[in-house]
Amino acid sequence: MRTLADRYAAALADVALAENAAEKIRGELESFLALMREAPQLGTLLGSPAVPRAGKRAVAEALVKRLGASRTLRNFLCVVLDHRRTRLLPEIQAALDRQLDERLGVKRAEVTSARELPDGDQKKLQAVLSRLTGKKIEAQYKLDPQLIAGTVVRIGSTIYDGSVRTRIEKLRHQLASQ
Amino acid sequence: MKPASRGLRRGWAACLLCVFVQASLLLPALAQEEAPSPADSPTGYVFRWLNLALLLAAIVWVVRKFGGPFFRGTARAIQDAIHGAAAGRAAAEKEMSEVARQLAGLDAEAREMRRAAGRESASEAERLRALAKNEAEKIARAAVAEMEAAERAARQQLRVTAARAAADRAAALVRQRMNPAAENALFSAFLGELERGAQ
Repeated sequence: MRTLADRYAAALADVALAENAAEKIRGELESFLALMREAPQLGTLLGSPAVPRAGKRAVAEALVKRLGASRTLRNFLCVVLDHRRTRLLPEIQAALDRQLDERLGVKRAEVTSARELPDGDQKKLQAVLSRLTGKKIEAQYKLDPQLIAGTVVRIGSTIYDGSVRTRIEKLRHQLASQ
Repeated sequence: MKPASRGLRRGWAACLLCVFVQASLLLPALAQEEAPSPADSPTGYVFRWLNLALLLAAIVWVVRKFGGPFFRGTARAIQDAIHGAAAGRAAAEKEMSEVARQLAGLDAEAREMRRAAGRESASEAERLRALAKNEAEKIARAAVAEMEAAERAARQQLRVTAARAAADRAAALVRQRMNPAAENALFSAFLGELERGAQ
C-alpha cells in the first residue's frame, strides 16, 4: 500500500527523471534535510500553522537559494509547505531514494570488511554483486576489525557473510550443542 | 363443677331451710311470752321434744343426704392424689433404676471408648507413617531429578564454556596468523561463493 510519502516521492522522482537530474535532486533534498536537522527550530517554523504560508515560502526560497538548489526542489518544497506536510520530508526522502534506485535499476550495498579493500577488490566485488542481483550496485564501504577477517555484504535485507567471526561463532554453537 | 362442691351447696341450702322452719315455729311462741307460757305445760314439753326430734331428724337427713357424697368425693380426690403420687414415685424409681443401670454400664462404656480411641490412634499413626514414607519417597525422587537436572545443566555449561574458550582461542590464532595472502585467499573464496550464487 502506497503511503502519502510514497506519493510525494513518486511525483518528485517523475520530475527528476524527466529532467534527467535524479542524483542532483536527491542530493539537494538530502542537503535541505541536513539543514533542517542541524536547526530543529527551522522544522518547527515550517511546520507551524501559526506561520503564514507566504512566510514559509519565503523561508524555503531563501534556504534553497543558499543551498544553490534547483527550481524543481523549490517548487516541490512549496507544494509540501502548502499542504502542510513538512513533517513528512524525512519519509519522502527515504521513499525517493527507494523509488529512484528502483527506477534507475540501482541496488545499494553495504560492504563491511576487517581490512580496507583495495580498488581492484572493490571493483571485483561490485561486478560479482551486479551479476548476483542483476542491477547496478552502489556500494558503501565500512571497516570493522571485530570481523577478524573476511567481508560482509548487506543488500536490502539480504546478508552475504564471509567473515571469520561468523564462522568461528558457528563453530562455537556446534561445539556447545553437541 | 365438682360433685363435692355441689353437695356442699345443697347442704347449706338444707340448713337454711331448717332454720326457716324453726323460726316459723318459734316466733309465735315468743310473741306470747307475756302470758303464761303454754310451753311450760306438759303438752308444751311434748312439743318441745317433738321439735327437737324433728330438728335432729332433719340434721341427720341433711348429713346423710349431702355429707356422704361430699366426703366420698373428698376421699376419692385424696385417693387419686395418693395414687398419682404412687405412680410418680414408681416412675421416679424406674428412672432411678435406669440411671443406676447406666451408671453400672458406664465403666464398661469408658473401657470400650478407651479401646476404640486406642484403635483409632493406632490407625491414625499408621496412616501418618505411610504418609511420611510417601512424602519421603517423593522428596527423594525430586532430589534425584534435581540432581540429574543440575548435572545436565553443569555439563551443558561446561560444553558452552569449553566451546567459548575454543572459539576465543581460534579467533586469537586467526588474528595472529592472518596476513595479506591469507586475506586475499579469504576474499577470493568469498567472491567464489557469491559467483556460485549468481550462477
